[in-house]
Amino acid sequence: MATRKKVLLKVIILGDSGVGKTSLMNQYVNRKFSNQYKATIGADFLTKEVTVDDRLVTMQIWDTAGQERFQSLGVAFYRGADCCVLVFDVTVPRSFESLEAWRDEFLIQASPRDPEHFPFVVLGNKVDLKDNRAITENRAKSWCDEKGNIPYFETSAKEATKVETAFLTIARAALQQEKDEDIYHDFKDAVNLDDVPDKKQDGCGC
Amino acid sequence: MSNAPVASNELKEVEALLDEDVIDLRALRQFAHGGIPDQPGLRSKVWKLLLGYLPPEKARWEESLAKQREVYQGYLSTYVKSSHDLDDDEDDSDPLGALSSPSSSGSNSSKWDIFFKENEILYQIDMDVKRLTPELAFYQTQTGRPRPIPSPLHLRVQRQVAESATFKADRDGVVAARQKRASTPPPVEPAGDPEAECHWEVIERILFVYAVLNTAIPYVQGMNEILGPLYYVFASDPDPAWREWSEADAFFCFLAIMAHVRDIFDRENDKSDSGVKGVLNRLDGMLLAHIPHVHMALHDMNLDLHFFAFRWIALLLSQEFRLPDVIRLWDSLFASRDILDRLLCLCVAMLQHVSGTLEERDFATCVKLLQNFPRDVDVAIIVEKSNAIEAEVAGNAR
Repeated sequence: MATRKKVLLKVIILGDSGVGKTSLMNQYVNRKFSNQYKATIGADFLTKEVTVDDRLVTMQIWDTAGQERFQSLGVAFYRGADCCVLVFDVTVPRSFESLEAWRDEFLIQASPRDPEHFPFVVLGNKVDLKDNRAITENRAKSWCDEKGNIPYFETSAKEATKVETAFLTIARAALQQEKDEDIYHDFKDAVNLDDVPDKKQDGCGC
Repeated sequence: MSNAPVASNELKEVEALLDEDVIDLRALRQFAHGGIPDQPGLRSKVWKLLLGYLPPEKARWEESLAKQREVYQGYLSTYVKSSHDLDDDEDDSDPLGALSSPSSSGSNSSKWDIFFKENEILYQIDMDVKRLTPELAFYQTQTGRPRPIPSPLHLRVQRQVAESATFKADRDGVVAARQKRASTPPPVEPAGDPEAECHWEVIERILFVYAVLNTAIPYVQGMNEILGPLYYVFASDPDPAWREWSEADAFFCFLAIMAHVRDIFDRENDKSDSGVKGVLNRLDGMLLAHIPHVHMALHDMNLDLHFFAFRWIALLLSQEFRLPDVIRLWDSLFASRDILDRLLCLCVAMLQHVSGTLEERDFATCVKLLQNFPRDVDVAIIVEKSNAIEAEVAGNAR
């Protein structure tokens, strides 16, 4: 096998305001839950080192703001993502209905090379609130199936239900995406030796 | 803000300024920039002057306050309605009818259309005010006054009532977390008076009125973080005559602040000079001019200013420091004729302060550092550094 370089996986968490994006990220990274999280403004950033199938990888997780207004500012965060996590609250129908818009907006702004096969993972959060449940597992699953068999997990950030499993799937999907991108770039570099990369694209947008 | 006793000559200085029949705003600005002493009630008054809510002529205070407070009361009675109020307005109106056939003509249905549209905004406000500065018990405590309107606004977003109950039930967790910090007093449990309301409800109402009046940029997450400390300072005034009107006063001062930063919240302005992109470009230019080594480090790491500075600027640094430090920084901000100009200088000073770490160019470490700015920093040092930058900017402009 070829020498292995350090693998960085960039993961973006999207979804409506209040569905528990910050809570999920903190449960996964810090194994903590709190009712105290403020609304996220812009995006919060955390990292976690994990072993995925015997490979040590660093996940860079971006937890974004949920209000629609912030969508247009997403491009700075979405660029170069390896996996996109869509979160909804199983007790709030509209947060489920928004998934489509979040997915579309991500694909437009991140403009991945192969949008058809870009990895998404959907999390239906707050399953601990059993009495208030509004979106059934079947309904969520069938949406995910329609969108190209997106993996779906029912999570509770509060009770740490399925959080670890879900993020392992996220890491695997991101790692696969990263490998595919590598192959593409190696190929591209070999062909376009004189191609000067457009630095402006990566700058601070100014 | 320190707990040290206020140097009496500082206090004498500001008291002398406030003692004049016509207050010298220029002198007051200069004084406030150095930090307003923590004398009860002082900051609440000085901020109102700095933000132009109180006129410099003291003889005009009473009339001006009475007028503006009346205007606000008018907003409350016009815009803060419950579904019950709408029912009473016109007996034949039918909210369910309007819901099931939104295209049905007539003023009743359009009235209900507006009502439900407003609820969309209220839903978001409600979610955010309940999670405003959770480490501070203040917002969850009662104001000690009855509601100015009969029905709590948050009842309009029914689902939120359930969430509000959950929130209260979950407060045990909040309390437990708080007790770990010995210095934080335990939260005051609300008394059983159903007529009295909590401070977060007042903040919700102010934001709602703002949203209804500003249909172009109604409510954007983060506005609550600007209003919060402002209202806190006013509602903590030891003088009941001021405290009683903290809601109306905070509303108008909030308007004055938003006049400086509202374009940052506006999606339509994202690409304009006064919007997010324009302001971040200005910051970028300032970094290049004043701390080129930091500018280069950020550029080398592809560390976009969006990753941290959007929150710094849009929220006037309110999430980056502890509340007493935020309040101290705001003395300086409000003392400036242009809040945004001084804010950008403070941002440059903050980056300069941590330049050592930034120049090591470890992306993850740097993003985390800038999103979690060291809380133990003495903000007076940041202000001092920003003064030097401000002087350079002024020098360059000459």
